[in-house]
Amino acid sequence: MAALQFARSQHRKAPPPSTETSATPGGVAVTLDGITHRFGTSTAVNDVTLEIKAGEMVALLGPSGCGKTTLLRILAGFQTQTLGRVVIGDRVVDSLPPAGRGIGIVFQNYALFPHMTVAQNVAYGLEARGTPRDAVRARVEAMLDLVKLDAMRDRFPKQLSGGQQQRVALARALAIQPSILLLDEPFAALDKNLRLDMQIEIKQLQRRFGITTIMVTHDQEEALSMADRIAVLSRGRLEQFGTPEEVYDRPASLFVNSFVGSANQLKGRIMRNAAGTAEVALDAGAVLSAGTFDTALSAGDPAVLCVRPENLRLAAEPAPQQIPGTVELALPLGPVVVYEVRTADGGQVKVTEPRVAGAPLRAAGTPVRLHPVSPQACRVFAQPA
Amino acid sequence: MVASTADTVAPAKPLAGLEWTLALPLTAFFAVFFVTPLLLLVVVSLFADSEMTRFGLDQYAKFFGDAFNWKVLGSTLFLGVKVTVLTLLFGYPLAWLYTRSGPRMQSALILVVILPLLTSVVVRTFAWVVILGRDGIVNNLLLTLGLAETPLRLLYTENGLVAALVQVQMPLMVLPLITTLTRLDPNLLDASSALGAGPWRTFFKVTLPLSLPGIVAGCLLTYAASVTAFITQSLVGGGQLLFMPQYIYQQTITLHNWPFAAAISMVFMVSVLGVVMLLNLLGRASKGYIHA
Repeated sequence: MAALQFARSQHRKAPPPSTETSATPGGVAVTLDGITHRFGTSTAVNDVTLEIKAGEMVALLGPSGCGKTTLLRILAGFQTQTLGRVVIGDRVVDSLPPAGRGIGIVFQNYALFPHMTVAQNVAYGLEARGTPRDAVRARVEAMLDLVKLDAMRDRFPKQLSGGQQQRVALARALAIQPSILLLDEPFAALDKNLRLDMQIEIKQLQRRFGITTIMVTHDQEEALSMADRIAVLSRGRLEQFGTPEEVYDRPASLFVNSFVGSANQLKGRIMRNAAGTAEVALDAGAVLSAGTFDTALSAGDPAVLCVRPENLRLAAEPAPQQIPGTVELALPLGPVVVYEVRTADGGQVKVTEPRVAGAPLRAAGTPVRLHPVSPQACRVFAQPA
Repeated sequence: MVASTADTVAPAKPLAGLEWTLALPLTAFFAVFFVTPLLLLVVVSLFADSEMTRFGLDQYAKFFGDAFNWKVLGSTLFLGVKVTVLTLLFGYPLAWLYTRSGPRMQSALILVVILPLLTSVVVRTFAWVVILGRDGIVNNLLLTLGLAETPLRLLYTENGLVAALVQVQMPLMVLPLITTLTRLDPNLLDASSALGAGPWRTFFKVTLPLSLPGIVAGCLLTYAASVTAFITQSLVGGGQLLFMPQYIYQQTITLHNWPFAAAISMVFMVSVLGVVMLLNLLGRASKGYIHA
């Protein structure tokens, strides 16, 4: 009930108070413009530009040390970038402290104040802003209702489970009505079942309030399932910024291809490259066409062709342009079987195949022939030096 | 090595169930050199006369019956309060600075902080005599700068003594403070500032309450050490300032009144223990919710 009232009060500013499912009433656009950050001589973030739309949920994805957390801290105002601008809405906020940026942040370890009760934690930001006492009480009530923790209001954080602590952190961050929500590895500390519940819960809240949300994660599944767009970072550089489909199906770099999802890397030489499609003569013995963004690749250049295990097929009939190989290992994983295949050039390739009940596995030593499902399922990149 | 699994019987360890015997040597040491003398002290304090011929509570009656004794006890306990409060006021910023500094600055700070512990009590006390004396560094500076016409009396005053004790006891305050402050999650401070709290609000609402265990531990050590600092009290305080340790010393060594000395020792010990327990209670109340 209170949750509904709160949701409505959030919507009040939007001209027609539409239904709850419609997005983007409360959010604000964020631009990171040429952000570079150096710690001493090492560059943590290298010229990253991101334009995030109002109400969008963006994941900053990358391995540890890729600069994603530094980027989040710069956006929050905990750190000042060496170069570049942070624009929130239409204001350049570089000189503003965290409190002036209208952000709510949930830390990886939640950072709840251990000496305060759940209600005191949620009230903290409101009190710091000088909200009248009655309004604070009402708002705390509404927030605890929203995250279904009204029964826990007088508990201390250490008396709560991990999921409950995260809800408190979320309620505390949302209580001050931020226009941007920052989540730093929000699900890393939760066990797997709880993680999915919380992901759904946060996604629903985010949709409902239309709050611009930026999430830092190293978990590609989390990024793929939750984000509207994903920014993949590696060693301080932005590798790709796009929708989950774009990032997964049309990765912009070899790094993105192998970091998001898994990819077989087949070495070869370019035969032809034009209009985003390249033909590659593989060392493993086939000529395949594949999509590429790299216009600099020309005939004769060494290249890597990436194809995901689920996009490879084991051929029933021999045909031209198949990759010959031998089964080395078969791993039945329930719904699928993963075959590890040794190719003629000595490389290893993984293939997943739906498992048919009763059908025998291909035994080790069985000769097989591989081919990708389509040229769109393959990507070509320059061979790394 | 035998890897014992659930269904095989673990090989009997040589000391199984007898681990407590490892504490025996220390226990014996404490029994002989700490508990026994303490009991002796109690017994001696119960002699009614200084020749130790009959028992009675006369010594305690004598102590509590004389306003002079109350004054000495009171000024000793109050000296501890003054030193503790000042040490906390100077030590807290120092500990805070330490947690905010880079590694090189940290080693420099820690050296400065523990330096008093590395010098002999007598040496550092005489250093204070030199600093505070009529012809000492402070007076010379004041005279040169024209801030004073005649040398100030600093040595053999309570203020001089407090200054010396604050310096000497500083490590006892700063080290526990550093321990709690470095354990403080920096995300808490970031969370506070993101929620709209300024640096002062963050300090009083988050940092200070969460460093309470360190404050209590530091105060406890500083207090107990400064009220019993016999050498510093005697040398910097001089003969005109009388505190309990010096009083006990006089009664024992100069006047050979052992029963009275024992009685005031007992009174002193109980009073200090009272203060310590009070602080401890505070510490326990604050620790409860901080460390799970």
